[in-house]
Amino acid sequence: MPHNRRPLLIRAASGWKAGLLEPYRLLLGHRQLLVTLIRRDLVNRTSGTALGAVWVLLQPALQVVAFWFLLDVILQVRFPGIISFKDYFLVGMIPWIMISEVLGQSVNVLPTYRPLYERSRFPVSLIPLVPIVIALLIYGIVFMITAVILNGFGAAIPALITILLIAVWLIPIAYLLSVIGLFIKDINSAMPFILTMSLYLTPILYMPEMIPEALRGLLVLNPFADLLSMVHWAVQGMEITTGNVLRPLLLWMLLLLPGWVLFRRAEPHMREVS
Amino acid sequence: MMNAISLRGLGKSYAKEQGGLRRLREIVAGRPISPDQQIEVLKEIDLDIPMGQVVGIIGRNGAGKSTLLKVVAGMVPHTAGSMEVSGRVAALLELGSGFHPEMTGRENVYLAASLAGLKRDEIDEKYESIVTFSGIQEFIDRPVKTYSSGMMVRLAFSVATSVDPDILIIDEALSVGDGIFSRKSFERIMEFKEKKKTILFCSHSLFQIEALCDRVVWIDGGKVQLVDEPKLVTAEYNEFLSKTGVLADKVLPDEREEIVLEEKDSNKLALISAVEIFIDGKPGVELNAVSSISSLEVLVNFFSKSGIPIPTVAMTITDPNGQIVTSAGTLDDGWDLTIDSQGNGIVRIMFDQLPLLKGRYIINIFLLCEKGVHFYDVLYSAASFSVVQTGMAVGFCVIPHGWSNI
Repeated sequence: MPHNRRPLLIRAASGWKAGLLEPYRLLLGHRQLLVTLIRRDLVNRTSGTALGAVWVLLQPALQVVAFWFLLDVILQVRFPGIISFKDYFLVGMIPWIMISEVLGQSVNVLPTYRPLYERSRFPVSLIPLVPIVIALLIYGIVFMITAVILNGFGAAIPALITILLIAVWLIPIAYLLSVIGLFIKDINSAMPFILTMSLYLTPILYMPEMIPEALRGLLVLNPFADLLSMVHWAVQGMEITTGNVLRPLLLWMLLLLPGWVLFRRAEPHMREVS
Repeated sequence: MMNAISLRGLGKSYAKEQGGLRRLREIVAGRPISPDQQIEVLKEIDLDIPMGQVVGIIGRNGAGKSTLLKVVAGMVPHTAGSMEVSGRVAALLELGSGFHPEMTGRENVYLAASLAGLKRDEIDEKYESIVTFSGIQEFIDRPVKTYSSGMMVRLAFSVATSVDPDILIIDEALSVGDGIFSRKSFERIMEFKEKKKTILFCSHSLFQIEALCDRVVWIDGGKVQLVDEPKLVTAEYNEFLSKTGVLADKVLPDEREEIVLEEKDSNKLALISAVEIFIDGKPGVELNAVSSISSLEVLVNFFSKSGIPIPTVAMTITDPNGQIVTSAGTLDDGWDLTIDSQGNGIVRIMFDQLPLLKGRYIINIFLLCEKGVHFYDVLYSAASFSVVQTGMAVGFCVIPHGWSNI
């Protein structure tokens, strides 16, 4: 038996670099596999439906409409400022649906794809990336269209870039959540609550100024709030602070190493845990 | 000669069932699992398998055969020692391994082939032949979860052997079964053997092991007991089994039950249609005989589909524990069977002055391919007979002998 202890900070630098680069190397190296998985996922979502592929884009659109109905028609929320509520809400909501979808799937992504890797040489580390790539494809399109409708063609590229950055930002979190979700099933049950609370604590259904003074400090702790302020800045030219950029960047860099190292370390155990 | 597979002090331990939280904590801390918390399945395995050899692995259930195959196939990481495998590996281990049930047969073919290292255009090129070989064209666009286990095996076998592997690893569960496909897959394995590919497989059938392998590895308790020529290893293994009271061939019928799948009687290429057994001209399934006096006569009626080479017939006589006392086969004896225009044939074997000593014996009949390796049909316990004797001799049989005073 090997009793070589593997301390947590084993060559941290190389681990950090691996966490940064390895996901892209995986995506590139297994692009053929990835295409098959993505196609299957899209087929699964639409098979047997009359509208077929339309649903892929229609689903997030309907979610947006539902919230809009609640806020604009029933509660008749009116925002201060030059940006209309509708515009503010649409630009925030679509990236949020993408984030929550990726986070929600990440905790359960390993069991979902278990038959693929359980008894084969499948590259397990590719799996947490699959929901991100799929979300990137869907919401990249949805968000670009939305941005163009709201702000003209000039907004298309910034919209696409923000979605791409969000996807990149989500990678280490997806690795962490997939491992935690595999070993601690409880998180599966808690996830819907966590996501709903995150939605309410993030200025999406309301503007940051509408949050009570006492709770405003929470926004600083909420990386999603920072992310979305970046989105609003990129697409709608709203104001942004350095903190809005630095905080998510710092969190992302902090998670790169643990996310990757934990995943690689858990990998030998994954085939034994259902 | 280059080694295809080289294992040095290889070990594999599984962690005992423990809570997810506890396990995660140990992973986070990077602690190796303490020895009392793990089960050692493979211990200190040293093994070199030269390229182009067919190597069989034998051992009792739970000896570690399957784990060893999984480790070599790269499906399970080893926890000690080192392993070098050179070349493309294709593995057929557990039923449906590597197939995603929600995906269609077509998608799974692409998935499995790209995992094996094939490029998209290479797969496109081979796709038709893979599907044709598996014989499930009409189901290929349905999800694999709707497949019968037989169909899954066929597709998996077809993919694994079509990706042009250098090393083929097969768990016995997939190499047996009845029907046309079984014969086809068997022929494909023989092609691999002729092409000097490395084949590693495990089987309970010592007969097949001896017929196919260049070398045999016997594993027990997760350790290599013996690596040598097939005949030597199977002999040692048999001796070991008879000491422990478990017999290799006794294991076979039960294992087959699970394996033979739903195609039990349909589309067999050849089958035993009837067996008649006579002692001293008296037919029956439970007979009595007198040692060194009675005659034993066995008539085997068989059927063979046109288009396949005429099969061969073999029989074994075992004691009630399954220990083979003796065997006889038409291939070994150079006897050619004949069939009529419908494909039916009858062959008779006679044993005069049965030299068996007192005890109960069981007759098993086998219908095999022309090379005597692939089983078309097996009839276990076709009949049993009890032998009585007059003298005091002990043992299984009488060897012709003579005494003289000098």
